[in-house]
Amino acid sequence: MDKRSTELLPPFSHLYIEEELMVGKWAEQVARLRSRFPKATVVPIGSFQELTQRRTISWNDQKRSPKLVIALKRGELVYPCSDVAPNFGHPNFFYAVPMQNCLYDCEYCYLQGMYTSANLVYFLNQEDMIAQTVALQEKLGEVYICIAYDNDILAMESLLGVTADWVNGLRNHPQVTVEVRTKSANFRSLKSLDPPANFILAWTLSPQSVTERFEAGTPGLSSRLNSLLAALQAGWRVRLCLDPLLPVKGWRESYGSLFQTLDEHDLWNRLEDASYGLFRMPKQVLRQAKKARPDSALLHSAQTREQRGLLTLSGTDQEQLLEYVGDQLQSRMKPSKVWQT
Amino acid sequence: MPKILIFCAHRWEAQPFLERLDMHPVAKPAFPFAEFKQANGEHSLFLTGQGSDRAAAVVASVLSRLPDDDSRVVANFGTSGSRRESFEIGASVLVNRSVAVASGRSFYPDRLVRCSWPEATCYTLARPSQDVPPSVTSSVYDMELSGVLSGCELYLHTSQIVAGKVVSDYLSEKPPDWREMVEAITKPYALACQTFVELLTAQRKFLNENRRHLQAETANRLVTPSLRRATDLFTVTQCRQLESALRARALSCQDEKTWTTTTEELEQLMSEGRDNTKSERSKLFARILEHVSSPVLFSSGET
Repeated sequence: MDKRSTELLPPFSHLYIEEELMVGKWAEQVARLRSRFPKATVVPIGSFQELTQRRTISWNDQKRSPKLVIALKRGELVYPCSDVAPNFGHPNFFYAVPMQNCLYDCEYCYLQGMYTSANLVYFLNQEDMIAQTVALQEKLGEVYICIAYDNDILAMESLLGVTADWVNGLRNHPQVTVEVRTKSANFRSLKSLDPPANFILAWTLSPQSVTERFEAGTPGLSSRLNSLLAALQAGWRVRLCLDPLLPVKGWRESYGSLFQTLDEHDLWNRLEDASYGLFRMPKQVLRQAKKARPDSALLHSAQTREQRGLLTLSGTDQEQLLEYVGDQLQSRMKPSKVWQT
Repeated sequence: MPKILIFCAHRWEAQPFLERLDMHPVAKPAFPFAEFKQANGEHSLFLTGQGSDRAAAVVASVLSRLPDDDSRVVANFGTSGSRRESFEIGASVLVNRSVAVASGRSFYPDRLVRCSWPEATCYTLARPSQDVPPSVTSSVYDMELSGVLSGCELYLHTSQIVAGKVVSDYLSEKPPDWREMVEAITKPYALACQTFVELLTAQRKFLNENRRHLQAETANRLVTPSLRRATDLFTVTQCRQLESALRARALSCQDEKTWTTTTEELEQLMSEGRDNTKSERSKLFARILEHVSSPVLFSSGET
């Protein structure tokens, strides 16, 4: 990430709020949110789509000074997951989008190809999403739902409290299992909550060299690991995600060193499970992501179609890395707890 | 090519910019509207005349003749109306949302660079006495901005657009005497123009310093010649694949020498395909793709 100019506005200098939410039943909630961004300029907007779905947006410019959009999610609130996402043994596998986009700036991120705008959109009607999840569970018996695929809600927890809202709404619904994926080092913002039995906090970890090169703005390996350990210590169910694996030069040393670091913390028996997978992206999403990041050698290198039809990197290193990481995980955990994604 | 373009409705609104930036009318005008330029060509100013339709036409015709430049800044500046309770006469305002009252369409120039001015929504009206919609925040009212932004929409990113206004009169009150109004705002308007120029320079600097844009431009420059030669040999899809692979290679190349070697080898390979059949070219393409795949970023061959 380039050095920030002193003239550049800081993140969330502006709150774009759907006009209709500034009066009526949402006004109080909006006012509460506004009080958490006291210096922000408020811009009323018609709908979040007219701001975030313009084709004339420059992702890279917006990413340097992202804004927060406050909106209502309308229509479907919970979606079935595609077959290419790992379902961790749960047939009724869904996802919800309580927030759109991420504070971090990972080069390989598919959000760059999903959304034209780099601004973050927070949806006020979390309760409606939770209610729809419960309704699904009542219909299907058991539901597994991921709420942090299109965002990193834990990174924004102290400002928006999304994870806490979902914990409070679903704690007493044991038939609903919720996964919250993160790269943040922000477990402290959940510390006051009793760990719910039906929530899994899933930390994505990468070797420090990969983090520095490809995961701009994210906390380093040791910060993330400390946060993961704090969550385990507090009694939360924790998943380890080594995804995407990137065959960088010297990958064996980098990933070997990552396993060595993890071994120092005696965590393997305490983890819920672990998942690992290669960098891959649907063709359309990759095409858009390459437009958003014309500077990315990584995205422009992905040309090989894998079994599920997704595009991935070429070369034998990929397969070797996948095998290596799979072997390493299976030598430390029961094979039934290791998921290849 | 101009790096900063300013569009004003009237000569009076443009005058402080012309003086401050030492801009003069172009000798052989290419457009049927007034155009002013700095001697070094960095800044240009155009007079749109009154109304959003004219503004849209002027902006689109100017931008259609310029090559792409992701760090070019386009601005609109002028006077506007306001409600008495919102702003004082002579207040400078930066626009963060523009609404075309006639169509209801909104435009949102990205706010990226610091400015001490208050911000507002700008409603663009079709005529001075038009009824204006109620607004939940402070607003200003003009007759051109939505047209300017609509003209920009085809050519620019939202990060390249800046709009500012100086409040000259209040709505729903007797239209101001032109002379009195000019007298009241001449000084604050000239000062506002000065600050606005500084803001445009900062915005230009911000866009120009985006390392990602610069890297992408460099890669473009490197890749384009090789790609031009490939179009004679390969299909559109193959060329797209090759472009992607070449771009990855260019972006991860550490030095010019490595890139020169890559392109020479590529040229050599492509020369083998000139008289080949379609299937032979297809095989050659696979070889080329493998050859240009970046060995720098990823550890090809490492075991």
